[in-house]
Amino acid sequence: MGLYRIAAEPFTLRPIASFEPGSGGALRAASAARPQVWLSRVPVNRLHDVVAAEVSATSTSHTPMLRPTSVVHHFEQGSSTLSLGSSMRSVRLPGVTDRLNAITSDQPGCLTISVGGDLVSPPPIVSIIWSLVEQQRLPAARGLLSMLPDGPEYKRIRRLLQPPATKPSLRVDRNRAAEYGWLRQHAKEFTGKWVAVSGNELVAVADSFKQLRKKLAETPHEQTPLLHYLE
Amino acid sequence: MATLQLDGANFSGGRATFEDNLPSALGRSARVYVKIAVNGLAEPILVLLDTGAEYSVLAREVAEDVGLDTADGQATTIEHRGGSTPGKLIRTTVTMVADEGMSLDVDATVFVPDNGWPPGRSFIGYSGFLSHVRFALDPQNNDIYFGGYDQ
Repeated sequence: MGLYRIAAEPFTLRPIASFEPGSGGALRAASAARPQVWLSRVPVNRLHDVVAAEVSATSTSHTPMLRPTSVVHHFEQGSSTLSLGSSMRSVRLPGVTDRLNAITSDQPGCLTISVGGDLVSPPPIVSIIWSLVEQQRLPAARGLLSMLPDGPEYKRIRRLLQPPATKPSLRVDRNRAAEYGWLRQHAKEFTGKWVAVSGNELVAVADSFKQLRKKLAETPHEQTPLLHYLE
Repeated sequence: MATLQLDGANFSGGRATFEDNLPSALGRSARVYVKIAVNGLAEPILVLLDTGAEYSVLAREVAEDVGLDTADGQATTIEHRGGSTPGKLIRTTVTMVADEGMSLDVDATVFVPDNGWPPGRSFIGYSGFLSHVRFALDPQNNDIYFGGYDQ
């Protein structure tokens, strides 16, 4: 999977580059003098959107083939060309259409495009989203949601990745300064324990949260205690 | 005072005291703890406020106690500084509990780690939680002011 960085507003480009089948994801571009990849159907709505595009080949071979795995270049504003570097050569692959998965970068004004390395079975967009989730790149993962097709099978991923929503709550509590004071004073005595503290008093202590809750249920206490695990 | 104002408009709706001086066996300091509540649990729990964390994490034993461990979610493995941890992403409501003014329900996705996570460690993180909460810290008075964007 190669990475390409783009800094451009919405663009629509003509496809003339592709992977070579069986090359392990090598990407071949069009011009030996100025290797280029032209993208088509790139629905970039915002700079932070994540997009997908199809890349097709219309050129014939030159050498060597271009391996995009270490390539990162910038797309100038308004440009329609992604330059792949002067040291790279190009080939032509007529009639081949591949998929290019494009993912925005975390940097404002830039997109990072990842090129799927498997010609036969490019990574489905859901896999890319979860991969980003695992890498703790939530904004990028959220940006891909707009690419998912409609359907009940995507309801869960949409809900899990939707931004948080807030509303006022009727739940109330009291000032816990006294409990904090107790925790500061006694934390080291109860390291590795769950504690329930109310005011200046320890209501219950246990090795596990489950045990703590059980003790609380068995222990009379007038006010709701504060629960904490002391690391 | 529960409400901060910014340019004449309400910035926050609730205030609570936070704790930033708890001794720890880990030897770290300057950690800000705030109290939260989760559905199904009458008692508030004290958790870390971690603006450097992408996710919010709810300790598995707390999640199990309120039945969140069996909620519909997505099994995943989260990569972090300490390695990677398998667990489950779950959508739930976490309440930032106020001492004064209005508490705040946050419908958020939290990560419930499987075994291998430090016991009892929960925190509210940035992208899936705090990014949509207005909050301000008053370190001299240990007050946290918070509210939604529709205050």
